[in-house]
Amino acid sequence: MTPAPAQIPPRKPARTGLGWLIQALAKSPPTPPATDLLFPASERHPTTETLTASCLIAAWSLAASLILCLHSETLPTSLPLRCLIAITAWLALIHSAVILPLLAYPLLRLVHLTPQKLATLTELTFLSILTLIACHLTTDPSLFARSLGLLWLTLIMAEIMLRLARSGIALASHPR
Amino acid sequence: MVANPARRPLRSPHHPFRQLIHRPALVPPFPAPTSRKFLSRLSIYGDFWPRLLSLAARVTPWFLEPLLLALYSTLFYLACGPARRALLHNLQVLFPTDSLLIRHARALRVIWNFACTLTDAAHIRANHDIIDWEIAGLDHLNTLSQIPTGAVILTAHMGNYDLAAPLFAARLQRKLHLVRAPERHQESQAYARTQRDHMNADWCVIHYNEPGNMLAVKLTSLLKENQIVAIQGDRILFDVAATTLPFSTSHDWHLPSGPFVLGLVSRAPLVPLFITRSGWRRYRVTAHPPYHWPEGRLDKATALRDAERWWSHLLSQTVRQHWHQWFVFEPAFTPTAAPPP
Repeated sequence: MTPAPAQIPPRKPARTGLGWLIQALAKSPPTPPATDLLFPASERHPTTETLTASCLIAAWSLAASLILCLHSETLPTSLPLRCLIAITAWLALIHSAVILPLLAYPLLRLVHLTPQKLATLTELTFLSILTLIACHLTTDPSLFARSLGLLWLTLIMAEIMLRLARSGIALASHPR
Repeated sequence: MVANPARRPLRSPHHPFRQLIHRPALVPPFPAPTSRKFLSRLSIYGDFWPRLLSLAARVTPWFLEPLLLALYSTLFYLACGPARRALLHNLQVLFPTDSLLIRHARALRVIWNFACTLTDAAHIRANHDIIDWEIAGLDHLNTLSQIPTGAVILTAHMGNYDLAAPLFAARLQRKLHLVRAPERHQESQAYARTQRDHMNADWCVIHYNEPGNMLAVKLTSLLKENQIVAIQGDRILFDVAATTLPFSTSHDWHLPSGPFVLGLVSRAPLVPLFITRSGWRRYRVTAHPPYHWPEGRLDKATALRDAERWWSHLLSQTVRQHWHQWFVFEPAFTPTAAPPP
């Protein structure tokens, strides 16, 4: 670990395409910390981006789960029971992104899948599931449900485009 | 007349049937102790949760981590009644004017911070280099590296001292002996020991303050050999000797007296170091000026009292500033005893 001067802390690269765009547009440099020495980690990510993405995904998936359960024709008619089922389903969805990879890892290790690759695979699968839910919501008669579905599809499309743009710029500016 | 063994009452331990039933070496008599033992591993002090955390830290998508931390912090906050009550009690002393709702919010924040530090530690054990370390008070830290004798580093149960210890031991280029309390659960202790052994560098050795291991003698000899010993000076766990000191006008607190006795016996300077979370996956090591024992012959009781008061003052300042990272889940304060008439 190499210490860096505390006055010029290295900037944390964004994880997402949207975060990369916001970081490129925002002019304010990071505030120098009131410290004498800084040991930066090799893997660094912006705090605001992490927490914002987490809050966004949590709020969107909870809202989608509530809508799906409230509009479902097969569930019991009791409103509290439907809300309870929605929250349980939401918790199960969140936990499936942790438990299922853990259970599948012994099998996936046979195809030489490292934990890092497994985490990326989990991330993509989880986002794909949310995108499928968003597609389903866009066909809902309720305006709020359709708006929610469209919001997610817009965000995910923008994210894909920006990630492609970022990769393209990085590739173009890479010295040969 | 020889008694027929078959006619002995069944209650007798010598009855042949009884001997057939009770064969503890071969078959456990009832499954109950095993299942109880298994269930105890799921308890708050059991090894199930640290194991799950270690595994989950490897595969959890990054955007779900803050969400899961918030969920589990709330869950543990609701489930751990004694720890919650102790936190609320401690926060009541720190913030006497707070309403009950605000105090609960503060206590939940302490649990959230604790969950963050545990998760960060799990990441480091999974070889994820994700922690930014800041150092404040570099001059004092450099002073520590220049002290030719042994030194006692006094720290508090804040931040990730487990992870910080190898960092500054490597920086000081001196072997650091870290003293910590064992886990309360046997399996948890075994698991924690293997995890820490795997993580620690050559510069850092962990000693567990277990009953009967004569740790005080070992630490004194280490200090005499000019090595550095790091001890937590804010928690009374198990049968640690305690001293009572004033915290405020209305409350006293109990601090361990062992580090001061150790320092006095070896005349090693006391160096306060605090590790606090300064952001998401960012920690700050703050070094303060060391405490040197008076030269020459001294009244041991007075010298000990002075050192304890110096530490109490410094620790109370830090605790008031970083209350949300003071991970003491036992009641730390008692009302000040009324002076005798």
